[in-house]
Amino acid sequence: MTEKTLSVTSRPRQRVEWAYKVSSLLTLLALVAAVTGLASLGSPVLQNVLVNMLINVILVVGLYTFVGNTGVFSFGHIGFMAIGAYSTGLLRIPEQQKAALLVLPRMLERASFSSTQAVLVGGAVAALVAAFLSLPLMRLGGLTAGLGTFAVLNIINIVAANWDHFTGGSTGMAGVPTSTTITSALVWSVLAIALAWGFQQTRVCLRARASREDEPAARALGINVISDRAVAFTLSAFICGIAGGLYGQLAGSFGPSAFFLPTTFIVVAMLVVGGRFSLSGAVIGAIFLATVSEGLRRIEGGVHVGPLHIPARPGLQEVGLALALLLTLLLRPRGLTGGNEVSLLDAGKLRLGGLTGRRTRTDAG
Amino acid sequence: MNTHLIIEYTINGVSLGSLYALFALGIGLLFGIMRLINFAHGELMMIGAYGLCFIVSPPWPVRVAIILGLTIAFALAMERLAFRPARGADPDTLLITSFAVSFLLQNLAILFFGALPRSVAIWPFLTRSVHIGSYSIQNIDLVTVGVTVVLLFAFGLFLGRTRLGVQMRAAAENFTMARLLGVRADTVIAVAFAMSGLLAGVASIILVQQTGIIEPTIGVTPVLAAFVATILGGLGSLVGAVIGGYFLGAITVALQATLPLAFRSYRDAFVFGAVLLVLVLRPQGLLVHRSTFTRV
Repeated sequence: MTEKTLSVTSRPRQRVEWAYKVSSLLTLLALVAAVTGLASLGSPVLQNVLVNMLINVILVVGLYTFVGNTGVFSFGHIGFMAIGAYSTGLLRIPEQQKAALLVLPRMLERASFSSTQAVLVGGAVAALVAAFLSLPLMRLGGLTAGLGTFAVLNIINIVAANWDHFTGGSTGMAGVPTSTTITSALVWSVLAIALAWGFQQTRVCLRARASREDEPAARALGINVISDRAVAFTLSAFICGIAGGLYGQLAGSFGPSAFFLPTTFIVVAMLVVGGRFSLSGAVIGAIFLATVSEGLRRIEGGVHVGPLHIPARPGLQEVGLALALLLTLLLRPRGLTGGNEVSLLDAGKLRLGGLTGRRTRTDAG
Repeated sequence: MNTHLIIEYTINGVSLGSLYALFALGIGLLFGIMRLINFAHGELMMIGAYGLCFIVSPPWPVRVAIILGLTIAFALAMERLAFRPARGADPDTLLITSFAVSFLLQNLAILFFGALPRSVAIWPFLTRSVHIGSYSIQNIDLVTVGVTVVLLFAFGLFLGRTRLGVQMRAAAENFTMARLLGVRADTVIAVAFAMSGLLAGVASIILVQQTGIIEPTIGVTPVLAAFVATILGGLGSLVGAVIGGYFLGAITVALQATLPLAFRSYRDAFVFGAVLLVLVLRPQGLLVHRSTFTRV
């Protein structure tokens, strides 16, 4: 990778790489659209699963934007999802219900936003909190970063469970208008993927990736590792906040337990199973595990396989996810995609002059 | 605040601290050698607790022995099946692995035993109190502190005086160098896991006797406490883990006693805030330990 980026790239090659990058974005968008199209024809239950999957795609893409580009792991991003969901709830619950459930300043109580505005504000609040938290957090690396972000998740959870006036405490919020539809979830996930992809084309992201590969070398080149990581962190919190806003408007009512360890586990599993070093990995991991998990959920409710009756088994879904994650970690630590971007150009064997293959193997553009 | 109250708080703090030290030592032991924060340590306690729930007929020393055997066996199985294949991976991959093992065991428990809490009979002896002057101390607190002190003493002797113990300390100091000098990696790591299994077993028994309730997520809160204690005490240092445990017990009780009522429910948020501060300002913890650093 270093060799390639340092050498002067010729114009035709640049064009090929660009075509390759765009094609991988289009491939991912097509994949999400195709899955959505197929599942939206199914039963209402399946449609509900679909919307949840699309929200998970956004969450995993959000987590990836930080983890994949910087190589620093985070267990804290579900906290940003919580911030997005609560902020959106505050702006969307009808005034009378707000007065009955929460104790708010007059201005916030009167506030009434459209669904889209509320989701955007939710993302923005999450990004703001992340920007503030990045001051201490981005100084951490490796293991301590994992532990620090875990502490952040706990703090956000405790505040959400106790700040009764704003969050409804441990019972949570209720009465959020359920306005998240398949269409809106699809549009937001397309935007999230495009945003993450767009960020990957920026200098900030290239520098963050350089420091992921070799931090001392990146520093020696004059890269301000902390500030580049902080940008990635803030953007990723924004995306997770949006997912939270959509979730809040899907569930209608939610409490702090919706944004704690189990959700963190599912999102981490999706990212790691898909491959945490490429955007394709994030999207494919989310879709793949959502499919597996839906299959297990059906078995969980009890099924008949021919003459054999498998009784209802709560917990089976999670056991399956945990096994999938463990097997991935042990057998294929870089995930299904192995850290490469997936493109239809590959599938059709339309490799352009053999220039693109190696490039994607080493660096996911 | 009068002296009577202060002494009561001190007793609470020491008892809570002993329990935290037990949790933290189990986590710190593995971190020292493998750079692994074992989230699944809590699930070893969960296994011990369910053992206590289902094995009821034998007399209590046999029950204790069976439960300790059970947690040690699970700890060894965990090492062989999940952590040995992942050995040598970077620390955050190990962290995710232990997260996965923890989630797997928790949900297997839900699968087999259901998600609802079960109540367990508490040994009546432990709920009685001893009266010293005007103070009354519950037997469970005395037992907690006593067992912790005995275990710490035994571990100290093992690590300081035996051949295997010295090898373990060498491995915690510099794993590669220790291996070059003939320390067997598999043995040392297996022994460390067995010891953490033993600690989890003891902790699970005390925990169940204190609460009387068992559920699949029983191990989550203790692991969070252990995690905080090991960071406060300094990752990779065994003495640090124990001191961190007592320190956490002390600040928990102190915050509970001194925080204004409005902030009291946020107590744990302050504790986690302190963790964040320690990680940023003093990542070596309250006690310095060299091998935690990556040199850049």
